[in-house]
Amino acid sequence: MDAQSAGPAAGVPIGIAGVAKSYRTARGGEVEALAEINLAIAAGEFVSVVGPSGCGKSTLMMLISGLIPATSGMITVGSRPVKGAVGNVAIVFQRDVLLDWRTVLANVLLPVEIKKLDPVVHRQKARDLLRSVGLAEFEDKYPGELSGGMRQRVAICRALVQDPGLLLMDEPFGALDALTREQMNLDLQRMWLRDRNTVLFITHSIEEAVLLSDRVVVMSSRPGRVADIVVNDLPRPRGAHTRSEPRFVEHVERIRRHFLALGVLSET
Amino acid sequence: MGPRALMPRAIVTVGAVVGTLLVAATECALAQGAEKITIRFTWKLKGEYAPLFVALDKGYYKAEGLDVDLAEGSGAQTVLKLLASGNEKFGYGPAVSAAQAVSQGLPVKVVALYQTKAPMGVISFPDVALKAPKDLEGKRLAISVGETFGDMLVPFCRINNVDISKIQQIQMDASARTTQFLTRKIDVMSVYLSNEWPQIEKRAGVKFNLLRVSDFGLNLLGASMIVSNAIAEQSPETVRKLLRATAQGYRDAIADPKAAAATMAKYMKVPEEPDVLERQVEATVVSTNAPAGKPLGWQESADWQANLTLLKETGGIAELKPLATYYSNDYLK
Amino acid sequence: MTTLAAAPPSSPTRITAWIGRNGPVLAIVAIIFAAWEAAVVALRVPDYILPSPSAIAAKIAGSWQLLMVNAFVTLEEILLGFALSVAVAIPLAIAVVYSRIFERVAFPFMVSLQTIPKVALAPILVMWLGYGIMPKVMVAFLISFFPIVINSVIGMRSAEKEMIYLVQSMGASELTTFLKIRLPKALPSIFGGLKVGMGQAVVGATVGEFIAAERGLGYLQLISQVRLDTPLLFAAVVVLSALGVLLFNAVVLVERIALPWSRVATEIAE
Repeated sequence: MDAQSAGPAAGVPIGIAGVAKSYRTARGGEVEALAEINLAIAAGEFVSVVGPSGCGKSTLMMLISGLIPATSGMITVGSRPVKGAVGNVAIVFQRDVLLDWRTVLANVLLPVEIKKLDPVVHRQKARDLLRSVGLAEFEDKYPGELSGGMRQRVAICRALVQDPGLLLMDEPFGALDALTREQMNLDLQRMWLRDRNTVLFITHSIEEAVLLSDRVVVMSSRPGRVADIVVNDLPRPRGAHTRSEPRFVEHVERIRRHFLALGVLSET
Repeated sequence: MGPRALMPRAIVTVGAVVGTLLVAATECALAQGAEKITIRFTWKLKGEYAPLFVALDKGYYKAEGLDVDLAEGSGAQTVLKLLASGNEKFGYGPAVSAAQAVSQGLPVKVVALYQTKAPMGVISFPDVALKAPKDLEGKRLAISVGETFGDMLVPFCRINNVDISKIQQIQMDASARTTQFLTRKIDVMSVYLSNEWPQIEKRAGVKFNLLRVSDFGLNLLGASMIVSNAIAEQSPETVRKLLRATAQGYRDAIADPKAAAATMAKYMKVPEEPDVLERQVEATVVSTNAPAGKPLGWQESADWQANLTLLKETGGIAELKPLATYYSNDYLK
Repeated sequence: MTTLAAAPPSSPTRITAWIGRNGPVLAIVAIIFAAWEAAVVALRVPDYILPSPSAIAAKIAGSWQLLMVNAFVTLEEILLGFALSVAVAIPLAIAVVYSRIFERVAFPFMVSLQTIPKVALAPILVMWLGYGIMPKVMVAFLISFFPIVINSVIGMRSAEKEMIYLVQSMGASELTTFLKIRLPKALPSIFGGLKVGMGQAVVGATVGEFIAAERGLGYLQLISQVRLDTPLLFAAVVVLSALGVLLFNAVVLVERIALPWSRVATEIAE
């Protein structure tokens, strides 16, 4: 386990080599979810993964987290091979899965309790995180009293309180309305710029991927393969203005053309 | 609170506990002298049980060294099974039910019979003629599962030359009989004179026509003391003491039924109307089996044979066992 | 231009608010009772068929001691039976959730037990257990434990898989996952089961008393039937219903205290 510090986290590199995943179906057949994936992610890098439904991007994320095993190939996180649940990883799902019976603050502190981290130090960190997303007055409220966007912000705080080397996010803003989503993008960027953990960000939204990440991994339909990797060097911090920059539009177009070619999008 | 203040409290508490234990132990020791017995009635309290309450109240059981608890039951079937399984030792109820149990192989027997002619009758509203069994023809009669008269209808009609096909037998649940009768949905219904008869007359405020079945040849064994064979073998003296004291209670009740009713009323948690209770007691004692020169409750083989034959005829029992398995007079001697 | 009111209207007091919410129900109940009373009097229905509300009320008042003593007897049976149910049902539910084999073995037994009418089972229980308090407690237990098990199992399985993944990724052991996630998530369902179970325990204790009792409200019902004292029968039923309602609300109260967040949610809904 990494040191239980409360300072800025150091991101960890990820290595994915020859990784594939197949499932056995109920009828005895085999479904190939991921064909061979090779990918190297540098420490502190923000990488998005876009792809059509069923292309295996969520599966890829679960493989990296160690919660499900790969059928073949090897994954390393922080240069340690993944065997079972990885310690230094925080996950944010599309559903915020906050615990209804705990207050907002207690929810954020859940990983601190389970991992038995220093409670005093992390309590302060939790409160700081909540304040940084504008939820300071909601510490003692229950999740039932919060809106969707607020709940997802709490989920992100919960992820960050553990100082994760790796942040895995599976369409975290997918359930939110468009305006809230835009705001959350900016909030996430702000927090990442501060902490610089490694982020793997899965999304359906090409614009979102280009706005947030250093690189965008484009995946094909099932069985998922890496169709393209778009390097994105737009200057940071990025904001609302970034969307109208020519290079932004270029990257978005390039990715979109992939989906047209793959038949995921069709103009006829 | 400091430790010094706790000391006196501790002493008092320990003292209280020890004291209570000593008292309880002493009481136990004292109670050891008397033998604890439960007599389980087959049904809920009714005037029919008064003689036993008299025996209890006047200390006859205590004088024999018995600490008796008179408890209600919930049906002859259940009580007999409990006797057979050893959960209960003494039962008090209809000998007919005991006979059926013995025929089924349950290890019980009747040790005293308090009624050779069960006080049973058929009633009707005053405007419905009911002077002889023949009057049953053309009437609607209530029949219920486990109701003795219904079980005995065939021999009753045979003995009295009644055409049973002319009686409209209407099947109904035991709990519905009375209301059906009172709302005139049925014309005639059987009752126990020592139980429902006074109750229904009181409720309706009407004096009904009554046909006593024992006047017309149907003599059924009535209330009796039933024991498990095991207790009879292991503690014969206890059985004898119990029957002796019970017989004394009976004698007092026969002599003064009103007083017996008043005595019983003291023990009834759910009170019954005093006049109803009195009538129940009177109907009970008037038919008590106390043959001259013999102990109260003495059983004659002829009576038993006749009853068993009736039961076999009506299908009440499948197999006749030797008479000695059904009853014994040994404990009345 | 709108004119301002001279003073803001006073907000309704709690009493008037309570009346506003419950008024219609109370009015309907009052009308039913009045009609019932009138019908019994006008049609001269004898009280052993259908007593009037006033006769029942008089009986309740007149036999208050008797009713209360017996109510406590039944209450004891209900509470013991219910407590036994909870003590058995929760561990059983945990076993079912965590062991496929146990689930496959235990479920058929539990379902068959549930479908056997307890009225049929009760005399057998009396035969084995005698006339003490045990048969009533056992019948109450047998009737009430199944809904608690079922609801607890559903509740314990209701944790979304993402929640489980989340705590697993934090390195939580199976026990921690159970204590911090599955069990709290199951509580609303468990309480649902407890509410149903409590109602069933009331029925069970009463049925048990019908079969084998010397005291209690079920016993009173039986006696009053035998004695044709229908006002007492109704009185016992009324007291039993009141007891049932009281116990149900007791569970609801405990739920409110144990699950403060559920009240918050309903408050917001209002």
